[in-house]
Amino acid sequence: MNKNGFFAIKPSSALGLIGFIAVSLLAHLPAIRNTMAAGLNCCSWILLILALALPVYCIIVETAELKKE
Amino acid sequence: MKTMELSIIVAYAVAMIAIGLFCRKKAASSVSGFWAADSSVPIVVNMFCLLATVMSGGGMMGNIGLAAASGISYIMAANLGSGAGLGVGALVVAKPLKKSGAKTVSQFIQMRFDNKTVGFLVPAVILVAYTLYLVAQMKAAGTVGEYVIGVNFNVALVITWFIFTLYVMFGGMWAVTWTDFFQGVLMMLVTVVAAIVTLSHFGGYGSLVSAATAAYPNMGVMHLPLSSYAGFFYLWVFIGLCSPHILMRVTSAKSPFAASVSLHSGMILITVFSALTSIVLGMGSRAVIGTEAITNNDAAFLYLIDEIFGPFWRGLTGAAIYSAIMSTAAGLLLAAAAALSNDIIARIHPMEERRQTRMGSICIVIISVVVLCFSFNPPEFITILYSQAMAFMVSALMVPMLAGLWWKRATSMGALLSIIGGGVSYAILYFGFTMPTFSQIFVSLPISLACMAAGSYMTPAPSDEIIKMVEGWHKD
Repeated sequence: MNKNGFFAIKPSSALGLIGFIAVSLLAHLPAIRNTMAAGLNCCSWILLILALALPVYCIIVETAELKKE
Repeated sequence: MKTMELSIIVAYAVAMIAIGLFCRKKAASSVSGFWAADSSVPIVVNMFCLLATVMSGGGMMGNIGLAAASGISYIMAANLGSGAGLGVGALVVAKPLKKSGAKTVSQFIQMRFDNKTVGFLVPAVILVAYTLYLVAQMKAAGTVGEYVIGVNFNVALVITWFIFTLYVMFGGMWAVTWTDFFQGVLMMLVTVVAAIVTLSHFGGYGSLVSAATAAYPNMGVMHLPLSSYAGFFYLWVFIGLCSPHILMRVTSAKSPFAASVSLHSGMILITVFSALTSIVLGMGSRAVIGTEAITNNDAAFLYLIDEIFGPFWRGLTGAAIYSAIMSTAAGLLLAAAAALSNDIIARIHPMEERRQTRMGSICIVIISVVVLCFSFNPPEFITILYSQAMAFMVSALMVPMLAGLWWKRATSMGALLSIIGGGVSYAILYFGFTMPTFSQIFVSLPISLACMAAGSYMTPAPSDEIIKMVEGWHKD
């Protein structure tokens, strides 16, 4: 039995996770966090949009997978 | 004393106790009923419960106060992180945790890493962190009592403590679930109405921004060290991955799919709630306060509601703030009591189910009394206090939790060293060094990870049974 490595993750979950990490890190770049829009810096706006987009994506994917089963 | 506000809060308190008494029989019938509501909570109920559980007294008061005092971005980082933590938790923790059948985080870690010391350390860490978190909630309760209904701080504290201790003690997870649902709906209702009224009061979003930035020019700017913002954000993401009082919502869901969708839906609610409180209500509070310094930053929101609301909505807002406090306090108290009762006492003295539920009620009272004793002289800034307590817990528990779920080679020695390395390093960094707030986790988590790797590779790999068991948790 292979006792090294990781247990497999679903591709859709991996995509969501990688997307979240990438966008949340990029949002903290100086050029983005020092840019203001509507009284608030763009880093905060991007994190806000990400926090809405991620669960919507995941609910759509999970529901589609459940229907397929 | 403010009569209308007091009447509304009394009606709210009576309703919460009534729910606790109503749920008493169902809760006492089994261990699964007392700690996990028989794993039968619907998605819609769970999502509002998550809002109420995650958004504490800090969510409705401390956060708005922090926004008014230090700018929006600082507290938004935490709020959005806490929502994101549910989403990331749904991706990597919810389903396998649900499939494991574990009713608590301690139980799960013990199933994966069969080690006596780990079995006692995990609930001990939870007890310490959650006691501090509870003390922070009690401070919010005292502050609300003082400003909203005109009652002495200590009296408000004792009354709040009595109410949530009573309904948690009698009704367990059933009571916590239904009170959380009611409280989550009330919190969202009041927040939406307060945001609309605030925008109307200031003549629209643009005027609100102008008024707030005139009083505090750094309102929307990231003016603190980057590590503080990033630390606050990722800390709350990590908290969502391993916090017992949040993950108890997973164990109470009907199925792995329901657990996952509940977390994602909760994330949407929390994000909307966070945006309204941090941005609109935070700016509104600052605009009302103006350029003056305030003695109690955590009361900033109360200055705003004094300005924009009459007695009825002030009373309802007070009830919503109490909802935020009690819902989180109830979840924390239940999770801490589960750690003491199930994961420490019942392991030393195994007992039959009815006695276990009674022991659970006793542990709830014990922990609650300890919290009350610490609450009479609390520190400044509720949100910072409980965030640091949670940072300690994350440093100790996140790596063993995730490694236990995803890394085949993780062993009980790795878990033990990881808990000790993460927790101790965080404590040393926090008490021994001056670092930007919340940046300590960027050091303590890699230490915890290194300890997990070293400990695991120093000892033989897990047995075939353990690997097969965990593989089963990941299958659809």
